Amino acid sequence: MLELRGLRVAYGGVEVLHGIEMSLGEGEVVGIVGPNGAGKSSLLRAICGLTRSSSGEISFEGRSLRGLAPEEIARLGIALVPEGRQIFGTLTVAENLRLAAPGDGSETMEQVLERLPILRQRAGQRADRLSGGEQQQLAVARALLRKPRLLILDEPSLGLAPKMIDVVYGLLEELRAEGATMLLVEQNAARTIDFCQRSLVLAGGKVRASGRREELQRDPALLRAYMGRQL
Amino acid sequence: MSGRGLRSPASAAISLVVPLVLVVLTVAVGASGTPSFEETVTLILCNLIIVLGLQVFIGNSGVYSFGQLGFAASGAYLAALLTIPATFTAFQTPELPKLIADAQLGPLLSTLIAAVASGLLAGVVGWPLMRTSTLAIPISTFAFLIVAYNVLANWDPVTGGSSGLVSIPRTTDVETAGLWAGVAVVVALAFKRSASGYRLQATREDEVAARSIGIGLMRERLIAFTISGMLCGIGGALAVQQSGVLSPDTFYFAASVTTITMLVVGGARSVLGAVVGTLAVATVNELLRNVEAGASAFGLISIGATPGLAAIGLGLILLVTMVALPEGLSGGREAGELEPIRRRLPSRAPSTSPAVAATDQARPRSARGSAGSLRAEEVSLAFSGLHVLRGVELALPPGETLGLIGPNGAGKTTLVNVLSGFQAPDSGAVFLDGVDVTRWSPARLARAGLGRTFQAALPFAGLTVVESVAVGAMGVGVGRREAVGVAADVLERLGLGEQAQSPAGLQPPGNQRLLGIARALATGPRYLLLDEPAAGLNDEERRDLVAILREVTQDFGCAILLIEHDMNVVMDLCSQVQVLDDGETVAIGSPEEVQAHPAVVEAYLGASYVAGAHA
Amino acid sequence: MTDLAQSLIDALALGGLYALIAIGVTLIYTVMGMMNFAQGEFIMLPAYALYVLAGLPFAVAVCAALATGIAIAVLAERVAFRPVRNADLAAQLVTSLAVATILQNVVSAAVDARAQSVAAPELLSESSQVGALSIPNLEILTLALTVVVLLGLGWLLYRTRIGLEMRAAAENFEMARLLGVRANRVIAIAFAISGALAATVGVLIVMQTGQVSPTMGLTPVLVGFIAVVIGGFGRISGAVVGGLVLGVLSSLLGTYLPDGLVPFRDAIVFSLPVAILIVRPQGLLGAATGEARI
Repeated sequence: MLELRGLRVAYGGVEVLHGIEMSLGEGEVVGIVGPNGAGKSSLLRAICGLTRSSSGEISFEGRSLRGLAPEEIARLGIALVPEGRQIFGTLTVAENLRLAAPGDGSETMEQVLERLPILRQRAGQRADRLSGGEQQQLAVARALLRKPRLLILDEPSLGLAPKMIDVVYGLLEELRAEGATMLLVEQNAARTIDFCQRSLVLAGGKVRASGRREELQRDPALLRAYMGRQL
Repeated sequence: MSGRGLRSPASAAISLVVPLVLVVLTVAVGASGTPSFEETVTLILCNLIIVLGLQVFIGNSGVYSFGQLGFAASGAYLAALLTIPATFTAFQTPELPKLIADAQLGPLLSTLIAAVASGLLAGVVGWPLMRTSTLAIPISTFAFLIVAYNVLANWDPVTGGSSGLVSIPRTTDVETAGLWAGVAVVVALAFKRSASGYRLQATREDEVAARSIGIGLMRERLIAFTISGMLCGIGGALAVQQSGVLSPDTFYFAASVTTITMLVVGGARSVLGAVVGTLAVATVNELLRNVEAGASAFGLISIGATPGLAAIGLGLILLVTMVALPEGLSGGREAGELEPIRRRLPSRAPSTSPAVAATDQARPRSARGSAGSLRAEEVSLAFSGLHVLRGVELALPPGETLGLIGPNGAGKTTLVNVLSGFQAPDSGAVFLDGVDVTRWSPARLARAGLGRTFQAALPFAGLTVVESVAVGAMGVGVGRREAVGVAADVLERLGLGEQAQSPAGLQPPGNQRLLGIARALATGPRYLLLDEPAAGLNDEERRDLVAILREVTQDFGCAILLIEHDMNVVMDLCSQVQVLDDGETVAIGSPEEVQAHPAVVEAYLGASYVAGAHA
Repeated sequence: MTDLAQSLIDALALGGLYALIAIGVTLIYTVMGMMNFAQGEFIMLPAYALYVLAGLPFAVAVCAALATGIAIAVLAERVAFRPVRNADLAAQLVTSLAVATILQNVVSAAVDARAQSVAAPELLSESSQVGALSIPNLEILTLALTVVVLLGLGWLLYRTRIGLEMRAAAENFEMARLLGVRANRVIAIAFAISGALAATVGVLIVMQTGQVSPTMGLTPVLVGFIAVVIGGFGRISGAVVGGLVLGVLSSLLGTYLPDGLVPFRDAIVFSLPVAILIVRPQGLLGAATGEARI
């Protein structure tokens, strides 16, 4: 469904991704982990059209994404839940949701509110009054309302209390069970590797390790990427 | 003026000579034509002086002022009133104070007085205006222009009102205008290469980084604004002593657009740009005016009289330039910079580090003699409902190296922001050598000995490597000559000596990070806060960085607080490590202790990982 | 007493006019981050439509003026502003200056550089009796239009899809695009509305002064900018407050200023907001933003 070949991304003359290869099939849940500065966010931004890639290919369901505007990529069925959630604080919860729902959306809205009843409760409140966890749920709900073919989440557990992280991952678990295709980027490696069928470890702009859950959990490259050489 | 160190003498000489030669050529061309042609060229040279005035402020600060022609007007009116014979002033401006009305000064004196008065006016007007935000300056200066116009047009008894003034002695010839233009070129270049000019350019390149090296935004802008007003006043005074007549419309909107077009088309950042732009646009303007009047171009095309054609043409030129060639014809470079010269600075082997000596001199007495440390006490900060810092404590004793680690979003950068004055905490305090500095601005802290770098390198892309480091020293008050010495020393230590003359913006990422460190070091800090200095470096660069930082602590005697994700760097460099997670400190200790601390591993990799690793 | 009431109504009418200008400037600022110097020309060109179509029924001429305002705004965005959409602030400002100059001089060349007179319809030159007060119909119209615009804009922004998209784009353009909001459409619509507002202002000004000139947009655009700045950047409510404050101030000064100082009314009015800015750089209603920019 999603294929990356030799993807290079540069910001202001500095290359931050040095040739990334990756593929994601329908129904798969893949994780990308790695320390800060590894290039994870750059990768997601390139896929979603927020940043131009300097070379390489990004294709989604056979179509090349390079050069498309973010809104066009969104309309192709890719939904991003960005780092820091980025909900519209000055709009109400209901307005945040309405914005995401294309056209009719009333049926999907019902389904989403079923899953996340807290949002129904807070529908009339300004979104910046929500707690971190609630905002995260709103951000995910927004993405779901677009009925995405591919759901991408950038550090959903960032800044959340452990209990809220459980709630969010519970939601992701439900989605996974329903066959959603997801790409999950996290700094918290353990949870992600545990959750996803397979994961990639990104560090210094390159893929350092990849594999299925069991393999990766034993791979010393993972610990090295994060903690430096072991004493 | 631009003699020593920051640019090669050859480069500085070329940068000065080429614009002057252009001015001389213009004078020659003007003097060789008909009297009316000479008058046109004289006015072009007066325009040039005004454009150079614009360049001094707009080019160096990167902020557009739409009010500078108000100062040209003030210079013009003053010069006119001082030179018009007493009999005529009695007639045109009956309520003008006798002192001015009766005065009938010669051109030189009146121009000088106009210059000083315009400069003073610019200083007075600029003082409140430069206090407004960067976005508001174009608007508030535009307001000034309209206010000035209003006053001049309505104060009939003193200024002659909207019909203006006549019978101004026409004493400016093309040679005089050329001479003053040459002076203006020299002044503009001298300012650009002075410490104040460099500080202002730093604010243009990156406002945040500039504040972190002690630069006061308002102050530097005001200085340039005043000099700019003075030059504009000279241009106005000379112009009006050429044309003999003056009205409030002369230096109003149309003239503002024309002069700004000249600056932009030439390239606002350079003096060469101001000269080239003025000459180019003036030539096109004249051509278009001829077409406007119904003449034929190249004997082929004839159009009937089309008033406004010239102005439309200029507007189109301005538009096209903004879209296609934003840096103008000169690309923002001076004549001597057209080929970047890569040269090694003369190497120095100082006994004591000149950087420390120089900045020590510049720093006020009270801040010398470090007794105490950099401390954060009970610092808390919340953002849109998220608690980013909760009662965090931190102590950085002099000469120590403290590593600050923790997962993404733990609050590390925020803590450094609080320590360096970029963010105010909701509660808690920061102490520098025992003084409560919680509400101090970043610039003030820099001058007191606290330096920092940023996660993004924030280079001064438009300056050369040595300039962007030297401005660090200039930011804390070191003079330009010494700043060069400081920069040379720091660059040598960091292995960047070879790159001294190349543009900072073209350096590879590793070097740009080093430049950020060099710049902070040039301020002679006693406490240095580094935000992820090793990010994006390869193994070898990382090892070099560690070696450099170790040397820095010893030679410069400064303490280092290091935010890092690269554990190797932290282990090698830091004597103490503090771990932050979710806004709180979860561990403090030596690197070995911390690396093995279960809470730390958990913070990064999560609880289940720890279990897995031990299984 | 009636004098005071009369003055207040005059003041409010002028305030309303200024608020309309300020809203037009703000709309473009919120979606593009640009202070549009050419807004004055968006006001001037529709006014000239009235002049050019003087023979036709007034209603027709007004419609033509509205169409002109919308057309010129959308065209300017497409041709001149889109290429510099991602450039820095200064570049955008200078681009709008270029557009302003071009438009001013095109009109100057096509019609005349001097002011031309335009006759207002009888009705608008008269006054109506409201209680003890005699209020010029034009002022009633201005006040009515201001209210209508505010209500209409409120309805548009808060009750329609496109309004929702515009508010979202104003807060976080990138995120809005990630949700499928079409950048070009939102910006074009903001410009179109801004152009319509400018046209309204242009018509009102012509009715008030009885003339058009190529430089008639200069003072209004400055008023708009200052109103936006003192109200607090980027918020419609700020624009309204700023416009009202400036208008009321200007009008009251005009009425009560001693004779000798009357010619300097504008000078005083435009100087005072700068004082506000020094004391409160974020404007009257602006949020004091935290320093964190890193």
